[in-house]
Amino acid sequence: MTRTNAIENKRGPRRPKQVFTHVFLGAMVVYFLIPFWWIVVASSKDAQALFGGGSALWFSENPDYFGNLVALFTFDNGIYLRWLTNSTIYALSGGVGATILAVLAGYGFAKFAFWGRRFSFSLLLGAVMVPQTALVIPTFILLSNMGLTNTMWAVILPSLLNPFGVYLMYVYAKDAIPDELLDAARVDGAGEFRTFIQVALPILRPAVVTVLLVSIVATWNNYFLPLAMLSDPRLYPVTVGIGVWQGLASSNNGGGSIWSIIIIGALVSVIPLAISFLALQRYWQGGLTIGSIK
Amino acid sequence: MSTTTKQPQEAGSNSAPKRKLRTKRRHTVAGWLFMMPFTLVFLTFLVAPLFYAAYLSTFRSALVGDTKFVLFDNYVKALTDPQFLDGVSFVLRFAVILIPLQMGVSLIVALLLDQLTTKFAKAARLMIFLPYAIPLVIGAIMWGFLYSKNFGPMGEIFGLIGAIPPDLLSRELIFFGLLNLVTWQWAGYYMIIIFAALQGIDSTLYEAARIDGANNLQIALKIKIPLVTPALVLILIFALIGTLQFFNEPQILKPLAAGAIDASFTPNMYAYQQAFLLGDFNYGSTISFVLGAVVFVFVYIFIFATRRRGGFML
Amino acid sequence: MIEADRIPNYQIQGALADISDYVDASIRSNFSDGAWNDVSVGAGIYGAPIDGGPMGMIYRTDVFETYDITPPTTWAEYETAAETVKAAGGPLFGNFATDAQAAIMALQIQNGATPFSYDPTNPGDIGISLNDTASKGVLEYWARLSEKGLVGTTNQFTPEYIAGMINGDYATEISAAWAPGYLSGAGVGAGDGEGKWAAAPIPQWDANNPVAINWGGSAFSVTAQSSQPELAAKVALGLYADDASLTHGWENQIIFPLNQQVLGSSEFNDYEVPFFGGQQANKEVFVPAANAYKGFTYSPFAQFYYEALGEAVATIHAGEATASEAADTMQSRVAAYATEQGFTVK
Repeated sequence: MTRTNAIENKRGPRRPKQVFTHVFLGAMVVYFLIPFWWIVVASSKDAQALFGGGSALWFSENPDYFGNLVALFTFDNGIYLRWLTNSTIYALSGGVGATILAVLAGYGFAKFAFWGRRFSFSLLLGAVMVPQTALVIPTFILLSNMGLTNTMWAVILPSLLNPFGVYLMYVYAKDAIPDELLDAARVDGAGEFRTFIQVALPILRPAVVTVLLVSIVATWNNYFLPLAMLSDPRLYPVTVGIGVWQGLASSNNGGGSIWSIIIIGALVSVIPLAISFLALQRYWQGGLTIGSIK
Repeated sequence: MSTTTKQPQEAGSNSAPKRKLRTKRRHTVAGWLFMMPFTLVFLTFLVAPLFYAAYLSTFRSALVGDTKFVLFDNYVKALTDPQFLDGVSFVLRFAVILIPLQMGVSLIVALLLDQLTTKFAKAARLMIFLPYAIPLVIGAIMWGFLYSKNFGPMGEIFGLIGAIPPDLLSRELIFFGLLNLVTWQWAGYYMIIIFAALQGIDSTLYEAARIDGANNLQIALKIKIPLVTPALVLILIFALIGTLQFFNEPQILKPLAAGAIDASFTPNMYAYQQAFLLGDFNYGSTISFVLGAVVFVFVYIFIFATRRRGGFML
Repeated sequence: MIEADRIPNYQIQGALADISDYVDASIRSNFSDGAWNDVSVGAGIYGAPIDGGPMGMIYRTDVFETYDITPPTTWAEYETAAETVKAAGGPLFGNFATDAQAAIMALQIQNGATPFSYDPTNPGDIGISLNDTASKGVLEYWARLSEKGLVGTTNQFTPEYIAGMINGDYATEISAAWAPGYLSGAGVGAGDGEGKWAAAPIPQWDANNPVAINWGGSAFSVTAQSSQPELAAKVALGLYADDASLTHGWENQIIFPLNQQVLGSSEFNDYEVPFFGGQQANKEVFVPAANAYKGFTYSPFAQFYYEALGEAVATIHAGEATASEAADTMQSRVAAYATEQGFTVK
């Protein structure tokens, strides 16, 4: 495959271009990594070192990660840990829930010519286009009337909606699952649901993992929805929490010393997802093929 | 038995229509059952709020006096509201520059990564994708600090050549400050989508082209790019939706860039301000609705324009 | 607990209970008239005062020494001092920010402006005066100073500004009593900067008619939905009488308590503020300012007003409008908003 190209590239007059390509890519990598480097470096500093000069891209003279971490986790009675927990709960339940719904619906769209399918499908595509943020205000009022605002459900329930996940599953299921296979199972007497679990699901696994990852990332990173729905700080996910701290630090409350915990808090919040990405490369690198090629 | 798979196509057979109907009915029941959980959530959290937003937008509330039914007056007000229109103008201008930039960067990087198979390339792929894992909030905070004249690296780097660093949080340059932030955040994600599409291309096409004497650049232009057009269209749609809805980054940067970013900088921010800061849910819903309509219109235009080359099966 | 300048907004939406019935003479004497005015809308009292922000000027003693300046007592002297420092190659004298709206409003009131007049017995009427001579005068003054390069234009509540303060980029800050807590927590006045700051009374427009002004303040309010308003009021009025937390607050200069029992105590007055190198800043600057302060009338739409004011300053900085034009624009914007919200603008 592309390996042939690469081998050919290594010979002959392609050499200088190879160097240029690598340099260019190197520059890109540096560009994309600078903020990460910065935050690792900045987390070693206290407020004085942050603002008082010294290089922005190098560590403090007295790197104090431990001190900053302690400050982070003890600030305001350890609310940061609470936020991390909240984010995890929201991301997992929202992500898993959305995936289940998407897999079921995508399979339904792909394999059953039910009455109203075409119309439903165009509705679905329309939904992909509706800006999620345009829904937040009415959803807030709706949930408020139901008495659910400022609860975990206010964040989890709306996160179950992932029309794009349905679309991805639809595309994959349509092509990857032969009708014959399903019919064979039905002929053997299996009910629809059993057929789905035992025949279709194993085939759908790469797509399922992709949708799961995308849903989890989306829910973990969600900012506007929880910002609007929650007013009790103990329910905040880490994104909203840090945003609120930043607002606090910018105004005259908080005594001014929380910039350093904002920074290390941001660093810590990034680590779980970053590690998951690295660990699960195999899945998302394969899975994102679907939906983009016909 | 061959009846189950073949029967919808069989014509002229006496029992075919009946069997087709039975299949359709079975399909309908089963299909709807599979659809049901998602449909429930869809109706509750998409359709219902949309209708509710429409309902709310027909009323007007005020600090003094009662809430009144005004039908379309709020829409007239929104469409003539200079703050709203300025916001729309901004996101459109922003989209026009941002989207080609993002797509260009991700396309070029994806092409390069497709060409190389070194370990470095593999690592680069991962590292360029990493910003996608960062919540926009955190990314905005990071760059807010990095942009700082006083203690971001900009001061040092520009100081090396004795120049004054540009203030990317100033009124004049905030456009570029945001441009950079959003590109950094999303280019990796788009890049991976394009990359995955590139990896799916049959390499025999390349061999055939090389035999014809094509070099890498020509292969890229004439074979690779045309074949990943559906992926490009997909990205274009995502980017368009996201940019027109621009909210998170400017909202986070606002305290750091007060004076550059006002409350109605983007239509979404304006809706947020009206609803949550000024307590006017009616007008806020109106703005959201009009914004949603704007997005819809533009996206449909694009889908229509690229229907032959895209993959949206409309 | 809410900011005092937001009380009218909640009051007009009927969210707060009037606790004036529970304020007897002895409770009344616990706080100055100015403090009570800030939590009142008309004759009703909608919160128990807790802390405030009497304004003063904090300055770098080393800069003043180097350039031979005595703390200015009028704004005219302030400008002259700024020019002297600039001519001698010194740092910026101060800062004109877009995000210190409450301070700008305070300065305008100091100059004799009455931005808002509002009486809840006629809830539909409101007086809005944001572009009269006094208001414009203040904006023009600061616009002139920033144009001449005498003051900075950085946003005040940003790391940017903090860094500037640490680095000694600003010779003064027009400030409030809670500022040292905010600044020292962020690292200002530590290390190299230790003991270099001092406090002085805020400059006046008219030396013969000094006006004390205030920036910020909070109150404990009782919601209108409270089923036991009397009990809640009692709690609100009695809260923060807890000595320990109160003392901790003011010792770290994070809050400036308004309770007269504290303000009158020798402990508080004689306190040698570390941030000011041991100066008895309370006695010299902030307590007199607090006691002389008469209170402001805030608008029922502080959020909108502050946004408009911030935008006005931003346009001045960007050169898109003169101070006068910006004030006019702001007046029409705020008046339009008020009208839209059902008020009759007088």
